[in-house]
Amino acid sequence: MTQKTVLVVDDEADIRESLRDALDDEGYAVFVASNGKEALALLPALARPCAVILDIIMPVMSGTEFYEAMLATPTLADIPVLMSTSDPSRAPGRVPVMKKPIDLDRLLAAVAALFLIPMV
Amino acid sequence: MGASASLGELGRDLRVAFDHRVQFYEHDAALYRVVAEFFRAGHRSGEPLIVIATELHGQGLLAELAASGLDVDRLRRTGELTVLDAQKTLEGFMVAGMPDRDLFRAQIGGAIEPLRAASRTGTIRAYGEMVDLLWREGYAPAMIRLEELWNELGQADGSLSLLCGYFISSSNDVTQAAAFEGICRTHAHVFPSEGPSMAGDSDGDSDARQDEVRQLQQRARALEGEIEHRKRLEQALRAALGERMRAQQALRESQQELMDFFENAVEGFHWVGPDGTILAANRAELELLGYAKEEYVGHHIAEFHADPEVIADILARLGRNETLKGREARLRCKDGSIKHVLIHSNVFFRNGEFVHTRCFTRDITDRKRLEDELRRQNEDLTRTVRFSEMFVGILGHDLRNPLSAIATAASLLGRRAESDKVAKPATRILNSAGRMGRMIDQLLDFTRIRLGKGIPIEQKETDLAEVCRLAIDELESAGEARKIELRAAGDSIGLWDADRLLQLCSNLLSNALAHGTGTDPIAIRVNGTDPTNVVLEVCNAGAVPPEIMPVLFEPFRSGANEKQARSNGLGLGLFISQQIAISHAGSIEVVSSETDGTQMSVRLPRNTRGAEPAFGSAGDYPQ
Repeated sequence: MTQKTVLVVDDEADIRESLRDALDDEGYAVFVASNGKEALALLPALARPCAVILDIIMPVMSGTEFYEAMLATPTLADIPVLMSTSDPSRAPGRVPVMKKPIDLDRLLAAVAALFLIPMV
Repeated sequence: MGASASLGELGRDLRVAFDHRVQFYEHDAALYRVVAEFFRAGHRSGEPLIVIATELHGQGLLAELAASGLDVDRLRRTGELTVLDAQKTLEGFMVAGMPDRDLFRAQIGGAIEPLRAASRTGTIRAYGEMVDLLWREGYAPAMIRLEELWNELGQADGSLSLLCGYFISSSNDVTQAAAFEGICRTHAHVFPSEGPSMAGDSDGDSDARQDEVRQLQQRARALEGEIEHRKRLEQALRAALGERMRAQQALRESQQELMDFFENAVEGFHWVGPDGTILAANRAELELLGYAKEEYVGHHIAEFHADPEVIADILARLGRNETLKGREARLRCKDGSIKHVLIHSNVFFRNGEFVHTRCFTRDITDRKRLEDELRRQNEDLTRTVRFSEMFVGILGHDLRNPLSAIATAASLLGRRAESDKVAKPATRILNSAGRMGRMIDQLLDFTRIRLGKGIPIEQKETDLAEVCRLAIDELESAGEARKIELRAAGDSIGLWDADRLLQLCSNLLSNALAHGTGTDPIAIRVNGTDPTNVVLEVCNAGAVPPEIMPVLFEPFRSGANEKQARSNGLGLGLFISQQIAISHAGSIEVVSSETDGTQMSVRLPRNTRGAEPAFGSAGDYPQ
């Protein structure tokens, strides 16, 4: 069975690492980035199927900027995204959002659900 | 026609060269006796007699003549006695209020002339009282003029003996006194009313002296009357003068009081003329601005206003007869400082002409300073509050990240724990992180409401009963041991924000669990039987303390249970619940008593758009 890949994008290192551990425990291949720019550099090379857990408020490149850039890139636009933010009101529409502090069980359930969404 | 002071001068230069007598009388009977004696003397000398009298006096005189032995009827038949009506005769020669000389001579001369042939002495003896009529009517100048015409007639003829009767009142007045002089000068002989009766004809020095005495007597009487009259006048004048002096004194005192009020009033006061010149200013105004009177009065009011457009507007309004009340202005003091004043003013108009303003000037400089200070403090406070709220908001957001790290790490720890030794502390960390997260949510909601942004809601079809079940599940999964009973009736679906309603239900249930007493289960009921609204009720035993009721939905409410409330949160739960209900155009109410417990009722319209925020003000907190 093909290993599922999750890219965690968050400027808070403790969150990144905790999520990396939790997702790793669940069997995902986990990659991390501290801002949108790093994530945008990483994402094209990641194995599919792939999903992104994305913080919004970050330095260098915010989550919304990253999301727009992703949608503007045809090869990336179909990658599912779960936004994890302290301010859900900033999340773009039609994107699933989890408000910080995150309930890990619910987040893992939400991530699992991302891989059930058929690729466009 | 009234007498004048010059009446006494009339006839002054007339030399009376014929027998022209005047008899003053007070009583008709006395007159009749004198005239009858005058006529008997004439009749004895064979002189024709002519009477020019009023009808009353004519009859009286004829009766007196008859009583004295004269055959009046025969005399009249023979033409020795002629009787003329004084009033009719007078009217025959009066023109424009004065006797006409030609008409007089034609009428009187025409009456006398035919009698002359019958006179043995060539003299005609006449009694006349036409002048008396004029005298009584107050036509003194006409009276004197008539006497002058008689004198002309008598002097030209030289054969006329004329007796004039003048009624003179015992209450002689100044008019009679003045005319009296003229009467005396136009007659050769004057007989006073109380003097000895005129005993026939007389001549020589003794007669002259007697006439003089009589004239003096009559004059003395007239003067006595005049003295009395003048005394009365003087008394009246003195009384009037006293009254006037008292009135003047009262007026002076009133003016002094007004001047004192003007000059010493605590309030500044000034008058401005129609051209803007200051006409007067009181001490308070001068002291307020620091000018000497001559530095202020006489100058244009605009020189002292710091804002030309303000005084221009004030003068324009006053010119239109507007009344200014509480108009603020800034006046320039002599030392260059500015005084803030409140002006009350209107204009005194006389016959439609702008005379002067009536302008009160109240110094409000200290008040303005205080107001400015208060405004600054208020702005500072507002900025501080706004900053604090922004700070709380930003901090709330920033706290979520480390809190999320804690929660995620604790959750991961719990998942990896192989024993309770690790799992239990991890759970406690997780629970505390959850509580802290809820507090941050409340603080952010409160900040959002305070900033006037309200609670955003995303309406979609939501089953309120389902939301309640979820809230109960969350509480139970968090370890709540007390029983919560849910009863739902009817259709509980509406257009609502499910997450916010979950927050509302959780808040109400947490509140009921925290404050409810006894062991009875917490009851939560959803009533969807009404087609318009769905009602959610959360009930618990125990009453809300009466002192808490008025502030139950206030944020950070204080009271007897403050410590208990603090231990369960920030005291924002009910406030935010109320705001959530308002955001859904609904409402929340509480009924509480010791016997029936406490019941929170939330009414939610099924499909009404949310209401405007009910609390706070617009802010600029970035979202």
